[in-house]
Amino acid sequence: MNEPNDPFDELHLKEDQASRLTGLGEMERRLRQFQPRAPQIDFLAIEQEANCVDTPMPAASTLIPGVGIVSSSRFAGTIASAWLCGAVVGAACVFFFMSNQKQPMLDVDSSASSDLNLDSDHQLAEIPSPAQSSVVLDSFEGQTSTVAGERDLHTGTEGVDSTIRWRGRYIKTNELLSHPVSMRELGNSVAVTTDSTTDSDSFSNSLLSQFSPPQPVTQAELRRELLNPSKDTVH
Amino acid sequence: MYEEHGAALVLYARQWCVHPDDALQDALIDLAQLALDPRDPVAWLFKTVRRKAINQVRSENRRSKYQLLAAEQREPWFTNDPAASMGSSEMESLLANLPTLEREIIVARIWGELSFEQIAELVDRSLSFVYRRYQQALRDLEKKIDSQVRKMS
Repeated sequence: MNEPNDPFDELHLKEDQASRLTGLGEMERRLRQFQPRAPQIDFLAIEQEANCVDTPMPAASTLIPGVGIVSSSRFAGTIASAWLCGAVVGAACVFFFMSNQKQPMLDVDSSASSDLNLDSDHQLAEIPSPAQSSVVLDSFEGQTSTVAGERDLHTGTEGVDSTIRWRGRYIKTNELLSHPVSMRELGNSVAVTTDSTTDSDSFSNSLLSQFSPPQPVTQAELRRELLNPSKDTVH
Repeated sequence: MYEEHGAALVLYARQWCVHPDDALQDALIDLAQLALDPRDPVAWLFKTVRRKAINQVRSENRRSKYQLLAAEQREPWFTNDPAASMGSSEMESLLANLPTLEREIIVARIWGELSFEQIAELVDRSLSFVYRRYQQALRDLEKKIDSQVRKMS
């Protein structure tokens, strides 16, 4: 506490106290005549505080053995189970939505694959033996008129064959059974179209026979016609 | 210890706050809650009371001036002694007019009966500084008391 380089030390203090004791002692005595007020202290509160310190509160786990551990493990288990349930529900929801999103694609793929299968089946069914084809022809053409079959051997065979193809596809897939007649008409229209092409050829031949190329005209004839139009040249 | 130093501790706390009893009670509670007894209980109590009183005056500064004046007027510092040469209120006013540090040293030395080493540790100053201030404060008080007695006579 003493300041450094301070010549005043404990020895000097005692000497100074002794020398000045007579003068200052009288003053101290006069001051001590005045008694300060007695304090008003709540000793009960102090004792309660002291007793609280003397008997510390026991830990919760020591009141009932294992209670703290059990409660903490239960709490951890509850949190873990909540997380697990959330993960399971989330995964289920994701799987559900993903499956719903893939459903149209699967339909398209399945239809495409069915077409492919149909094509393969169709190919298998499309390459019949001559006996089978005749049987199929008879089975379908027996109920219809024989006009289309007799129309043209080449085109009629194509039309019937296409009809057989379509009908084979319809029978196998049962998807377009509502339109068999129109498909049948489509086959006939193909045959009719092929017939009309032959008619147009004969018509063009007749036109060509009637057509005669114009004779070459000289410049003098053209000038005469322009200057002197006749009734034949004016339409 | 309480009976011997209680009044001096309250007077010491009164140098700062207007409710010195609360400061002393808080200090005694802290003393009761200590796990190990302090090396010098009296010096520890004075230091704790000082800290409590300073903390209390900081909170009291937020109160209204009227409440502070009312609290100061209610509690005199000293008991009335008819045999004394002057009244307690005059002695209280003389002490109150001293500088804070000198007043603190006088109270701790005269009524607290602390040694100068304890006082030096309490006020966190050197021993020589405390002793010189103590002597100076006693001389000033002596002059004032003498002049007061002469006026009264």
